[in-house]
Amino acid sequence: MGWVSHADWEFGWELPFTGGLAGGGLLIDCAIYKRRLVLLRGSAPFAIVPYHDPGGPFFKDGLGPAGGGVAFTPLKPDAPDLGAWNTPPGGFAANETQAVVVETLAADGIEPAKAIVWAKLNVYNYQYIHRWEFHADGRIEAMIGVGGELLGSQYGPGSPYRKLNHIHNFYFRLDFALDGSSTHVVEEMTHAGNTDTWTAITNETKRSVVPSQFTRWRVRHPSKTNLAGQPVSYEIIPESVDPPAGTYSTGDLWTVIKKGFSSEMGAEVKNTDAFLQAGYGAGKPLAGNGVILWHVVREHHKVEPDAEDKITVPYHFGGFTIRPRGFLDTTPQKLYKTVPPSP
Amino acid sequence: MTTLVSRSERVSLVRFAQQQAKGRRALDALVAKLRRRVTDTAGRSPEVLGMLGGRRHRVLGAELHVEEPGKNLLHAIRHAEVSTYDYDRDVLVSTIVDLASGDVVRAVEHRGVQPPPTREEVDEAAALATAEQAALARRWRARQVIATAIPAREASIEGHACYGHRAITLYFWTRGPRGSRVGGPVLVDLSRQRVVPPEPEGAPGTAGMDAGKA
Repeated sequence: MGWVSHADWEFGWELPFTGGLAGGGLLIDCAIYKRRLVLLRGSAPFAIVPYHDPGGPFFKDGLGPAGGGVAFTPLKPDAPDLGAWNTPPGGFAANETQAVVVETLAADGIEPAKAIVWAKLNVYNYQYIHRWEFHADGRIEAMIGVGGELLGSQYGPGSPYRKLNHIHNFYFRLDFALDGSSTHVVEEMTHAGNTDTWTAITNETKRSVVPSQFTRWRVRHPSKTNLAGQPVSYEIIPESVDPPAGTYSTGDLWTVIKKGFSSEMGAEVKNTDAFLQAGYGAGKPLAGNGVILWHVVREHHKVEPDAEDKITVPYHFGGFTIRPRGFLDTTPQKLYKTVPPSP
Repeated sequence: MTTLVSRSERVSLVRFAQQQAKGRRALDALVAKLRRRVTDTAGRSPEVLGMLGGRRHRVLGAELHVEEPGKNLLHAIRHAEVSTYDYDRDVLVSTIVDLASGDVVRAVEHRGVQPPPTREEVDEAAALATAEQAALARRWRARQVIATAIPAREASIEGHACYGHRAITLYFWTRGPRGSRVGGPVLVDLSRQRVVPPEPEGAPGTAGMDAGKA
C-alpha cells in the first residue's frame, strides 16, 4: 500500500499478495484531482483470453482464474521478459515494495507533469503490466502491457500452441465518486451528422462501441455543475480497435449497481463475461444507486511465432482515457514547460 | 478487545506510505510488526476458529486493508486482512481486523481465489516434489537449488485432478546470479499433499498442459 501526491493528484495503490483480492493485480484507491475526489477505486482484476481453436484453451486469468487460467503473480520491475519457466528466482517479488513502481515526472514541452504507478505480473507464459498514469491536466490513462512468451514455448519452437492467434480481453472495474458523490448518472454519446447526443443509460446493461457513432461514455455527478452550468463529469474514451468477438467477451461497457466497496471485484466471473450482466447485474434501474462500470481493453494477438514473437513477446501497451469534462471551471494552467510559459 | 495499533503508529504508517520509496523500508518493518498482532487476533477469533473447524490450514499472510476509503489516508488505513487457507475445504478465509479497536470485523470465505504461493507453501511443495528424486532432494536439502512457484493452471481446469485445489507449479534453479533451471515443472497439489502424475503435451485445450514434466 502506498500513497502518491504529484501533478495535482493524490491517490493510493495496493497490490495484495494474500487477501481476497490477491491475484488480481494492482488497485488504485481514492484518486483525488485538485483536492476533489474522482475515482474511489480502479482495477483490472482479470483477463479472458480465448484461443483460436474450437477446443480452446479459453483462459480467465487473474482474480478467480477459470478455464486453465492462473492468478496474476507479481514480479519485480526488472524481471526479464519471459514465461514463468524461464523466470529466475530473483524475478519474483516477495512483497509490494519489490513489485510496485511509482514514477513522478515533471512537465515538458508537450506533456504535463504526471504520476505513474505500475506493476509487472506473471501470467504463466505471459506477463501483464498494470499501469495507471495520472496527468496534471486531470486525465487518467489506464493501461495494460503485454509481454512474456507465446503459449507453447515451454514445449519448444515446434509446439502447435505457438501458432494459435488469440484475443486478450482485459476487464477494468471503475468505481467513480465525483466530488464524493455515491451516485452518478452514466451516459453514452452518439454522433450523427453534425450532432452529438448524450443519452442516459438507465438500467444495468451492456453496451458496445459503434465506431461510426464515435461511442464514448461519461459519468456525471447527479446534480452538480461547473460555473458554466455544465455537468461535473469524467468521460471514458475507449481506445481499443478490436470489437468483442461475441462468445467469451461480449461487450465494451457494463453498468452494474454497486453493492459495496470490495464487492463483486471480478472473482465470480468465469471464462466468459456473462456473469457481469447476469450475475452482478440484473437489469435493475440505476437511478439513485451507486454504479460500477466495467470496461474492456482488447487486443487481438495475431502471433508471429517465427518472427517478432519468436523468442519473446516485446512489451506493448493498450488502454483507454478517463478525461475531465465540465469537472473544472476553466483550462488547467501552467501545464507545460515552454518558453515563454504557456498560459 | 484492545487496540492493535496506537494512533502514533497509524500516523507513522501514513507518513511512511506517503514517502513512497524513501519510506518503504520503515513501512515494511512496521507492517511486519502489525502482522504478528493481527494474525494472533484473527487466530483467537471464535468465528475464525469455527470456520476452520480444526481442519488443516495455514496462515498465508496479513496485509493492510482498505475497508472504507476516504479522502484521508489516516481514515483509509484502519484495517488489516489476515488470510488463512483451509486445504481440506479449499477455501481462503479472509479475516478483517479493525486495527484501532482490535475487533474482528468479519470473516469471509473465498472459493477459487488463488494468492501467489507463500514461501512456506513452496517449501512444503518442494519437499513433496523432491521426495522421489534423490539427486534433486539432496541439492534441495543442501540449499544448492531454489524453487520458484506460480499458481497451477490445472487448478482451474474443470475435470482435472487438481481442479479447485491449492495447486502450484514448481521450477528448480541453481543459486546465484547466473543460476540455471535444473528441474520442473512439477505440479504439486497442496490440498492433497501429493505430486500429480505427468500428463503429455496435448491438443489445445487439453487439461494438463506441461504438468509434471520434471
